[in-house]
Amino acid sequence: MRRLFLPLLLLAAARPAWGHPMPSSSVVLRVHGVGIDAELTLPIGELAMGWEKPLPRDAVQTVRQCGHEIKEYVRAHVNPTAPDGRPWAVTVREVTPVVEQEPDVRVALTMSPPPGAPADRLTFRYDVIYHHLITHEAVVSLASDWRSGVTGDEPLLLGTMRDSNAAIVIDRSGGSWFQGFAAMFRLGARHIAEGTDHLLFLLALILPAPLLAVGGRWCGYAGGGPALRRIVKVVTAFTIGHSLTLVLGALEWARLPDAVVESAIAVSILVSAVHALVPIFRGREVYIAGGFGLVHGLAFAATLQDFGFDPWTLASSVLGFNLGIEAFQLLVILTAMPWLVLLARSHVYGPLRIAGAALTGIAAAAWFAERALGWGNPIAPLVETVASHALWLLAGLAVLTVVAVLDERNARKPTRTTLRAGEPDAAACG
Amino acid sequence: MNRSNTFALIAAAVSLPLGMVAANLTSAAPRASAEATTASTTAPALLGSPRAAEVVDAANAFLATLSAEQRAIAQIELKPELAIRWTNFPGGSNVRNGVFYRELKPEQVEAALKVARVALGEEGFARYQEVRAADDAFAKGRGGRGPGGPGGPDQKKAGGGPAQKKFGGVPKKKGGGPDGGAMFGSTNYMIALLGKPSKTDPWILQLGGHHLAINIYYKGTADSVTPYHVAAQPTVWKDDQGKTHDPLAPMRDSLHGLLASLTPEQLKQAKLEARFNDVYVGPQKDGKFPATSEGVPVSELSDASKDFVRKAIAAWTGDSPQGVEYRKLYEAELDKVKVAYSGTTNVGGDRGDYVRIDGPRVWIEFATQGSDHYHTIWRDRLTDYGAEFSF
Repeated sequence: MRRLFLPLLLLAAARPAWGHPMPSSSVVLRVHGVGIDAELTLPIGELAMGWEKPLPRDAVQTVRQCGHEIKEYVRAHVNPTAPDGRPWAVTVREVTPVVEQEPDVRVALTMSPPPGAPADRLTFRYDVIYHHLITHEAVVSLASDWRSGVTGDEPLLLGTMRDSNAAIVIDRSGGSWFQGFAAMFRLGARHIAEGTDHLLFLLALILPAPLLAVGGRWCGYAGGGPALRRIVKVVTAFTIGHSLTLVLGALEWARLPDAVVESAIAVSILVSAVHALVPIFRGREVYIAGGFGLVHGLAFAATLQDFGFDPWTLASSVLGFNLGIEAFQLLVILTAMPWLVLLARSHVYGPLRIAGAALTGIAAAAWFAERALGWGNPIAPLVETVASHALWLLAGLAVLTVVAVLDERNARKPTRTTLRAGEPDAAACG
Repeated sequence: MNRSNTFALIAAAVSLPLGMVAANLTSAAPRASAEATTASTTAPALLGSPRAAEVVDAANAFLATLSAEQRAIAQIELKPELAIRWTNFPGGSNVRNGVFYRELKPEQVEAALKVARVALGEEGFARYQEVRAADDAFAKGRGGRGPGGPGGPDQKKAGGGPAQKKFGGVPKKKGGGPDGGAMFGSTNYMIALLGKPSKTDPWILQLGGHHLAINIYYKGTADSVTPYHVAAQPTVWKDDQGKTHDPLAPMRDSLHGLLASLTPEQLKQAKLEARFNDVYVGPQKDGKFPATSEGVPVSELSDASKDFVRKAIAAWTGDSPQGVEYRKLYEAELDKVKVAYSGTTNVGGDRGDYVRIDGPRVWIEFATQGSDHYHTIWRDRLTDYGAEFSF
């Protein structure tokens, strides 16, 4: 079941049979280029009273017995008109039951303007239920209006309709392609900013990038130049991978069950973490990054699915969304990379790498347990909490790097505390 | 320092502040605004309140028991958008003004109850305590848990939208969850003073909580006691000593008797087209009375019926020390009062049963949300909130 968070409506977790508080109806609108879709959620108790028709308390029974009449009833009470007064065409597509403690029926409508009238300006006349049950209200919200940047995760409240406010003027004509594109960009950036697992995969992958692999172990500093080049290649490969499946997924040409994708992501992080501990695929990081990038991209695509966009809007959305992802990803890499490259020269890096890899591995295992096996555990939320303090971690990393670099500069003893580029570390590699 | 180091450090120095900026990607939620404004025209005369000064003293004594932070919450400004901030729903400072009894020490609650007792008179105070006791019974009867969601306006699920995100390992949970036992019970009632309690300048005493909203406006030696919203669930219960409680009995019985006394023709005239499952002119609907007055005129009713109307008016007005004066006022206009109902005549029986007393000034509604759940309200068309605001 798709769910929407509406700012002023709170999701009632459990409502008792005595029916307090009196629920209101909800009308969720989605503006498309050629018309508006509406999804109504009507509480059955209120519907029965407003319609003056006894209805079974069971939502499934109600739809089975009265589904057709409900369509006619709703049709009669939804009457949008164009600015010039002409009526819109309203089609009631389907009626489905919502099985909750306070059962509802969900009604899907499609509304189209008359020829020549705009599809984004109308007077929405609606009085389902409250034309008769006058204490009832309907909360109207906008879930999707691409050209104004309204997307499902931040819907817009348009108003509360009641018997004294049975028509609201809706004017969505102020949007533009750029607004929509910018909103998709922000959505992408926000998405990966909150995607701790994606970022962790990437960071784990670049953790060993400044190092040399000798005899099945990490040891030695590869040098600033090679390190940077390696990071760029890995990140680019990841980007290409996830961009590809983002497009395929958004077009619905590639679609896997969410649970499979999420579990695969957890596996990818685990692999990445193990590689940071011990070079299990040295020289092939690019393929790993690209390959797992394909998996991560499917997860990104899930956000854009089910929007019901037309091809042009979808293409613009994918582009904007992906650019948003890349922008934030770039920010993260640019922020973390210099410190890691600098720090890799010192002996501190070994323990840091091992600790980071181990913690990442634990997080990955915890996520896998949760997503693939359904074993809820406290580690996953803990990771989120730590991630929310990312800036502190970054500050700590920066301080550590500065101290290590200063230490190097001050060292006058013959035993070096840092490694020279290209030289395996004798102590670590033996 | 070699070149790669320098480059790396510079890149780091630049990206650190960039990271700080990127951390802020959220936005705030919108706020609703009130429609009320302050009235500027001459208001009808308010009723004289011999106890007004006593209430001021009790209120100040109560404020004196509070800490500075508590006082700032308990005594707020006299503004229309704050005055209309009351509701029948459970919930705290998110839906109503003032301090919670459960956050006060016993002597502070004592002081608050003293204010209530002086302001409401014996009968009104008894009703006040009974409604709070009903909430205790409600909390106990349902194990302290109740309808989900932190109290607020209509709670409704809605559908549609992209699949729930699960990235980062934690499915995003939005919306409030049930507050459980914390939400119901007699300690979840609040007291608020709008404006500084004064023997000359206007101020409002608000006593509120689940199923209760008392708004008493004082100006010098005059006052006004509406809007008065009183409700109950359960409506009838037995306490631990076996005593039966039925706090809204006078309201329900008088209206039940009234409808039972009407002739079929009168009932037909009284019956409203529309249906109601709550009071119509409820919280945040100040001033939104129906455009036309409907129902059967009391002037056409029998003496027995008129008696019931008087009893009903007395039931609500009696909860105020000015009850007698209010009754006189309303009974003087009895001929212009109409009685209307919707649903069945079995007042208090089923969800959707509703009775209304609609006069030039008096406005009383009794709505049944269930056989053990009543919502009622008494308003005065002319002197709600002491006519300090216009709606």
